[in-house]
Amino acid sequence: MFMQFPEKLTGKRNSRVKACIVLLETMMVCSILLWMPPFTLGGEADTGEKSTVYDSFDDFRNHFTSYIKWISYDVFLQPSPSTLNPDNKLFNIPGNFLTSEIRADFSLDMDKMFLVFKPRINASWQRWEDGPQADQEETKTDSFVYEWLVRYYVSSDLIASYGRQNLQWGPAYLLSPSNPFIQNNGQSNPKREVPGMDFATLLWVIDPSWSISTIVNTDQGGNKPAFTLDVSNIHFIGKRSFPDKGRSPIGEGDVRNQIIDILGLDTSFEPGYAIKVDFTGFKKYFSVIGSFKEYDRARLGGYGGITISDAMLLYAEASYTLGSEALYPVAIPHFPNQSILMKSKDDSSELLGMTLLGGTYTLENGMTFVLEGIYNSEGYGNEDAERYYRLRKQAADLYDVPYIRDLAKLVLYQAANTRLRLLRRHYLMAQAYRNQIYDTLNLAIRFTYNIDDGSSQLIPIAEYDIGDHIQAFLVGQYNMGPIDSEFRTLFDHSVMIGVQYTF
Amino acid sequence: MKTRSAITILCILGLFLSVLATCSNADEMSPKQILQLADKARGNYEGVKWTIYIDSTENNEKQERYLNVSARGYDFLAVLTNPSKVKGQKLLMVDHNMWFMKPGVKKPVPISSRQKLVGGAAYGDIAATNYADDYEAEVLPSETIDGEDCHVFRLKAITKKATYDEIQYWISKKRLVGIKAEYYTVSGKLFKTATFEYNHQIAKDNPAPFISKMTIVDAIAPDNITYLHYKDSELVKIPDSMFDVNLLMNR
Repeated sequence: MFMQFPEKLTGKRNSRVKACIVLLETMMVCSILLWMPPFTLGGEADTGEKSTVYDSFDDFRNHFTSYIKWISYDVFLQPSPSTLNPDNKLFNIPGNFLTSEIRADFSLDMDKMFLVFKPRINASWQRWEDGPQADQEETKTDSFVYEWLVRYYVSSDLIASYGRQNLQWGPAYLLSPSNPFIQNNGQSNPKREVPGMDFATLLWVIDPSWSISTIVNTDQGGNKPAFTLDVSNIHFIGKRSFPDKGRSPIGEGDVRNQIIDILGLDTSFEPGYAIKVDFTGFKKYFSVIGSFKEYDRARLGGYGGITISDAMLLYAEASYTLGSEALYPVAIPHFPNQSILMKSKDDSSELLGMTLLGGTYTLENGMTFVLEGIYNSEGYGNEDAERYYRLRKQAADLYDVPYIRDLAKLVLYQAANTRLRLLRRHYLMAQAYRNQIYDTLNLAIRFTYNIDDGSSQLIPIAEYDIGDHIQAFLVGQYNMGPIDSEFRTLFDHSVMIGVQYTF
Repeated sequence: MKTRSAITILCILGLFLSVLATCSNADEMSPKQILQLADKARGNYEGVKWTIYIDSTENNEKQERYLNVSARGYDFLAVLTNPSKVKGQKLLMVDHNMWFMKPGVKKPVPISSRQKLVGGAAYGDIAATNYADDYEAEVLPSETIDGEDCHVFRLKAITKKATYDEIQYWISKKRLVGIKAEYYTVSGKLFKTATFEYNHQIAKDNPAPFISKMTIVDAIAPDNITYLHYKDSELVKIPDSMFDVNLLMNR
């Protein structure tokens, strides 16, 4: 019913068949496009030197880029004793997770086309210290395509592409509110790849300052939901409560689908659409992003930044919408202290969203300090939070009670998937980093503080180059605060130690 | 006999006049024209692609980097190709907004120009130069550098886009290429000196000298030396899309 925890961490799938299909699709598309009449980029056409068909292997090699890395790491995890994961029974977080992975990035630049193919092969071993698989071990292998892309230059300034991408933008370090598609920006752990989604894009570069992108998110790709719940298999008091799977568009569904929708139990993928307008000017830039998902509302986001001096940058990111798709704890009439998580602001016209303000300052020696503040009006206020944690505790207490165990599981599933990027409203993040110390050492330390519940997160990152090819690394995560607080929801701490070899 | 003498005299006279004309042309050229010719040997405002090998020694620490650079004006995209530990890292500068991307992390992050490239090299050193348009030239008395007569100019930035605030620039009178530069801070303090070599020729039909090496010496610590070796230079018109940050993730 719930996915294995390491898969949530890595986004890995048993996708050999899918990988082969994607590879075949890529090859077919490439073959078709290669047969089309060759042309060169507008600028490069002037030289008249480049052609699409390579005269020799050397010519091909000059357009082919490969980047191959072997990475192995061991992650030690200490699950938090929070009410969201009672005795680690729900999320089944392993105490030790060892992985060895080959990451290959291939690209081929053919003037009118640019191809990317990034296969991954890994083997992993994990061991549980507690939870339903306490003292058990598991070994498995996996292979999948992390990213692939076909980019076609219709002209030098009109570029179409399709593929699986980890599409990122925006200047913020902690998270990128303006990105409606991918929530994790990968900055908290440089060794863990953020799974990509399938996008079709059309970019029009109007001039050096302006460009417009249209983006269609066609599939969730490797970016599956962290935890899924099969609602058709939920039993309330011995009965299957949602006997059928699937969903119908809002307005066309039956009562079952409406209940599933309002309780936020649907996990089906929603195609998304966005238009992104970018401007770059002297020492400043901004982007405006309008987006919507098929079953969600329209959203307006954006980001911008300015260079104050050669040492200081300021930036902002935001995203706002009317109402919210998030789940909020709603008090049940006549039942004091009882509440239910539901999309209570689905029909609201309240302007809700997130604003992030940040800045960086770099010292002469390259040490850079980052400070970010977030106001998340979509998040829970004190009263909501109190209800939310009370509900979580009630569900955790009932988790082992026969007949209503599935109800407890459902509530905890809802609590883990509130659809909020950040649970509360006010946050501060401070980070310091310095790269290439003595040309061998990269250091970073990040501290994030939830002003509302007092919990915090400390992330130290160290990378040490042993020669030109080998790097040893450490990525930690220490979560502090009350047991029922945002940052102690899943782990108390985790430590990733590893080594990588770049060919 | 008389005819041969007359022809000889005429030839000598013609040669003398042509040399005189050449000299007077060079002397008559404005500082801006001289700077334009010197700029041509260090890139092209339409665009240049080159591979740069940077070899730096700073505080007895040696650093090496190979970069594939596509540059147009002050904008550039640099992809690090060697050593393996930095392979795939990318730097994008667009209108003095700079983005850095590490492979694996994917998300480009904005960085300030204080984030050093390598050793004493500034980001502007891996792009082409356009001193003729970006600086106002004050003519200083001519000097001789390594036996070569040079125009000497004090250049003061007239655009905020310029990499350096003030430069003293020595341009060979014979070859019309910059052979030495001193870089000064806003307060007039010398912070580095550079010398240039031009062992490449770039245009096939009308060969002209093109930069092959830049040697940068730190003014405060003269043992800190950075060499930039320019290779595989190619003058090309670079499209706007080359510098679009949306394409940086998969470039």
